[in-house]
Amino acid sequence: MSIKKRLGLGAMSAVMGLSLIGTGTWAAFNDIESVQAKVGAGELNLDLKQLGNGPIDFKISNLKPGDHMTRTIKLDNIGSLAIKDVLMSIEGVEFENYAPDTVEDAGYGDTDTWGDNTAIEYLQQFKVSVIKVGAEGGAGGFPLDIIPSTANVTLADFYLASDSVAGDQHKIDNGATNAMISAAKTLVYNSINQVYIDDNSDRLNVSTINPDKWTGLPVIPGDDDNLQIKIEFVESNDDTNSDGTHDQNIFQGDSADITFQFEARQWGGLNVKDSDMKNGVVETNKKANSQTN
Amino acid sequence: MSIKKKMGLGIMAGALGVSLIGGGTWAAFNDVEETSNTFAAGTLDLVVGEATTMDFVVKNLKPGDYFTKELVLSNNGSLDINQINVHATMEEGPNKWEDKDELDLASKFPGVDTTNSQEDFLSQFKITITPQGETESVYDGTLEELVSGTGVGELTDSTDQEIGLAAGPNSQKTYEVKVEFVEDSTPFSGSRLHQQNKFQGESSNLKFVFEATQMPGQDRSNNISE
Repeated sequence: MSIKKRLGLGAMSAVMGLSLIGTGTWAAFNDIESVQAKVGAGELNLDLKQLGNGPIDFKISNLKPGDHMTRTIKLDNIGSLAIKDVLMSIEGVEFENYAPDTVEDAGYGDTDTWGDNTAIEYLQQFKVSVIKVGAEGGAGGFPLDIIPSTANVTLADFYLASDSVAGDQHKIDNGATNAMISAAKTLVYNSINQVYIDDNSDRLNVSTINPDKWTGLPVIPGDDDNLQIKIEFVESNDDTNSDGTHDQNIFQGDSADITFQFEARQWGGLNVKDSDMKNGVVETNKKANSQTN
Repeated sequence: MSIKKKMGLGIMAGALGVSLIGGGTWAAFNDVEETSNTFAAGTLDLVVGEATTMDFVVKNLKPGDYFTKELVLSNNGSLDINQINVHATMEEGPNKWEDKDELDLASKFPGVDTTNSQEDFLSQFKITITPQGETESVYDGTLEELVSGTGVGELTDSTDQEIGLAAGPNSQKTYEVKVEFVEDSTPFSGSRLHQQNKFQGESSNLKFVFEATQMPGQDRSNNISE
């Protein structure tokens, strides 16, 4: 066949092609490929548990000077992610200053047995003797005592030094001054093992600090931490009024509800490699130090 | 005579022939000639390469975590590929997404919406697609944007007229795909609990879809093959 005739039909087919362009999509050919993927978030979950049958809250009434109480709180990681640290703070204090206003109330008409005082003054009567982390013992080498008993830190000091969501205004409303807050921070943070202070938030880390796999509350290896807190109503016989009654009498009948808060924090971001994974689960995130610096 | 002119004459002759046929046969002399024509369509065949690791399953992530996967795209067809668009769809299947509230935020913050959608969950993940060896990414958005289509990703960085991935057995492009669970420590009002906690324990199945498009139509009049 001659070239001439082939060309003739070639021109015809081009015209037909043009009519298709006019009526439809001109880029008709495409190809679709796909792959499946999955992303899943883990769980960071701290649970406070009793140790044995002991209570974890301090709910004690009818206290007298000289009384003391110890609580052991079990910090348990019930999530799927390792917990880096647990920051303890006193978030709030609800204080009630006792004043008998009817005959039936104890001490009515006898001002020796009660008096006006602030929440801060009341909390100053309570010494936080020991806050011991890792009270369960075991492989150690890490410092156990966070606030040693020799430091004479009171609940008021702890409250004033602690960061809180409510902020310092809440402390001032409870009878503190900025100078008192500043002094409390100096006292508390100078008497505490520095490794347990979170610089960014003025809070105590109450989980164990180890240079190895036991730091914080890992999921693997499972490692609960037991935290021991001892509070003592300090007896003070030194200061007396002219009639011989003790100054401390003004605290009779007072009560304070204190909220200790524990914030569990995650480790930093990890550059996840295949070697960190097992069956699609980032196993490394269950362990201490699971972060990429 | 030039080929062009010959061609013109050929078409004229063809047209004349048709009109003659329409009018009925009245001449005894005729001649019949035939041409042989082939219109063979090419193939447009995108291949997500074997070295591709975009079929990832990564569970137990925490905010701040990230991972990098490799994506290899090659052209196994006979036609050049113009552009390659990527988007994602949310899949059902086993362990499909469901809203979880591991920390029981709903009871801790009454009156505050502590629920989230799968789109909310996917918006926590940033995805960056960068050609291997280069610093500038061709896609930078969230997984949610890849699903909603607000950020359809074109991977070859070519215009409508440029070849994105040429045909040929050795033609391929390799990308680094980085996915990051972006940390957001915005707390709930008056609390230390971060709002991002509402995503704890959730997981999402995705399908990444790659679409290759053909080059624009061309004038092929002068293409001749014997």
